[in-house]
Amino acid sequence: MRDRSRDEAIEVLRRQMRAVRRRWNLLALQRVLYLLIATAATGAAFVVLLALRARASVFVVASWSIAGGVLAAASWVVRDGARRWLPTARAPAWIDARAGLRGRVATLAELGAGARTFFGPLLVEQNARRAEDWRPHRLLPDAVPLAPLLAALLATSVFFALLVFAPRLAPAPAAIVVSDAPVGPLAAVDADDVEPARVVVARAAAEERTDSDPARLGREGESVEGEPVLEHVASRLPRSLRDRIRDRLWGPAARATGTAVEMDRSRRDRSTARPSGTRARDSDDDARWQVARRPPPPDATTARAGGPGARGDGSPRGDDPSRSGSGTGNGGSGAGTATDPNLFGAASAAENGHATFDLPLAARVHALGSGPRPPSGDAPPAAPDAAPALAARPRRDAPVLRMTVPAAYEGLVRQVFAHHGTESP
Amino acid sequence: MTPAVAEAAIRDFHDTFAAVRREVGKVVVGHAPAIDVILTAFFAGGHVLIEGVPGIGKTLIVRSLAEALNLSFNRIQFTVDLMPADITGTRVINEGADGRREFHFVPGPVFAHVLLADEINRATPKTQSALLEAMAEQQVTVAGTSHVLAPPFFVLATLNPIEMEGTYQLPEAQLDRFLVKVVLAYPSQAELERILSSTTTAELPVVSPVLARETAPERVEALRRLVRQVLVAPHVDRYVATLVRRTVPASGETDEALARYVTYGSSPRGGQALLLCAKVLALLDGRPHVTFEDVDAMALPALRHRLVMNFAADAAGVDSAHVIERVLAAAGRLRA
Repeated sequence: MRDRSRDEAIEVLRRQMRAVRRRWNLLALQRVLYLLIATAATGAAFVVLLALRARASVFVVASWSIAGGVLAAASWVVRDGARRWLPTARAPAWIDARAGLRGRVATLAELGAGARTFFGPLLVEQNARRAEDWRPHRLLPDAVPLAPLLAALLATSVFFALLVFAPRLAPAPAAIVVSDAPVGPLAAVDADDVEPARVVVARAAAEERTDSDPARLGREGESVEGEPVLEHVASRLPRSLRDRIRDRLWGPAARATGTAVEMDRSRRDRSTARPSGTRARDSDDDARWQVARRPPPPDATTARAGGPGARGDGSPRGDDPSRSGSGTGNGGSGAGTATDPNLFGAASAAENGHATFDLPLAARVHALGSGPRPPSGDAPPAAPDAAPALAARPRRDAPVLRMTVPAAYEGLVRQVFAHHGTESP
Repeated sequence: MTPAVAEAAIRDFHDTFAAVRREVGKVVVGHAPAIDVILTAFFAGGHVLIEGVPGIGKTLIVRSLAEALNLSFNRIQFTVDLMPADITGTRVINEGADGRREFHFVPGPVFAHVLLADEINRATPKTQSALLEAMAEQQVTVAGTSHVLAPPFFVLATLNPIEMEGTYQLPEAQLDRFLVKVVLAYPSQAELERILSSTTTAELPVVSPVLARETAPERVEALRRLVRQVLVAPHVDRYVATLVRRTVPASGETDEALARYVTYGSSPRGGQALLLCAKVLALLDGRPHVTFEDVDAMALPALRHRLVMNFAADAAGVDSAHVIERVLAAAGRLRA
């Protein structure tokens, strides 16, 4: 009878041991999970932040470093979790140490019902007496590991906050301007300017290169012999990741801007490092990104709002005070903003649908406009982003040839060339 | 057996131990840890080897212990010319009233409950070995006849570490038969002052017997049996075995830095001694089972004299205590 009650007591204690072990292992699992989340979120936040703010070369190095750090931290977390995991055999000793039971539980667990010696009953009774001290909820009062949980919450909050506020970190979208004329280096571009106002796509002008210059690998993706060089995967992957992040958070326009900035920067770096004794390099047909610096306010605001700088005509934007507030934005390069309503004279009465234009296709057209206003006050600083290849000199005025419009087309021509703007001619 | 009875037995053991300890402490100033180890070895059923300079209180400890336990006490001063028969006893011819002569065994000083073998290393190995049988088997054989020693039998031998001239190193076999070895340190300033004041007055402290003379041997034997009842879990057995094996270079488990200093490690008897002493500590702590801490506390006195160090250790100043401390530190990581 006494043996049976002792066996029952031992079984109760064993059940309690299992409960403590389960609770501890659950805590250990949660700890691993939360720490892994915290590690991953922290790493992701750093990657996103660097993708948005750092240069590509920095991002390549930093992203691999972060990946290595995250992997190391994750492996440490997993190893630590494995170390904390309580197997059945180690649970009694762990309970002893945790509850200060001086080996009572471990001895009973190992001897069990075999402890039918002189001191066996006493050992069982001492354990039963102190069982309250190591109840699962008393021994492990916390159901969740608070510190790892807070770390995970904090890291994920930072990460999501970064995603939410990422658009605010975006540079002003630069206008992509296409030009047929070759462009040279823009010396006035600020090296640290990551928010260009305008990106000009044009053929590159002739550049100075030396034969022995390793920087003849000037264009990405080309070797000295002109053979394509595959970008290493260690560099390609982070760049691809960075582009994706920027695309998702800022949109493709910002990505194009960023790419243009970097290409321009790398090209200028090569130019700076080039030694003397160079020779001219033949211009090629490749499109080359050029970056124009953001003009000083208030024109900058106009540019961001898709003002004249985004017209797609390749002309410099915002550096002509006479054009501010024109509002039309459809004029040709060097043209005025108004059209003479009597450009073609009085309408003829004849209606002949088979008549032809007297105006040759190559005829030059001179648009009358108000022209630039005379400057007042101190002369503004020279616009550093002036594109000499696009507007090297003002166009020579030429008379507009008056032509005879067939009567049949007069109404149509008037309608086409009618000036609908608010500005007076 | 009910828990209450077991608890009462533990309490009785604890009280007896404490009472003996208190009585010995009346006359022996200082050396508290050494006295505890000696008493532990006594209740564990082993013998003690004490190493200390002359005049430090070795004999006083043993005598007061015998007086406190109310057991018979004998002392043998070992010298070079001491013969085995001087220890074990000898046969003499007795002539009876009828004129018949017959051999009669006269017991030697070994026939006592508590035996002090003072400066045991001064006797020849032959004489020293006369104690071997008595210590190991609790009996002596004289002229082919075995004479059983009345339990409890407790040998407390002393060694003088500074007078090595004309001494004989104790053989390893005999050293192994001592359960523990205690090194008595020189008393501190305060202890020395107390020794001077308490031993030079007219009224010397007197040890009062803790046990009744008639029942003392049985009581001591009962307490010794109680010690052996203490529970030892398999994980503690494993720990002790690990400790012992780590002192043996041939086992391959010894730290390489230590293995080059140790010629021979502890015998299995060292493990037994360690566990028995740990059981006593468990009872003193009111526990029916042994813990790692009990084992660790007794590792040094139980193992230090069983390690045979080599010349490299002497040259490097490494002693057995250093080796055991390193072994404990390494084994401690295993038990975590």
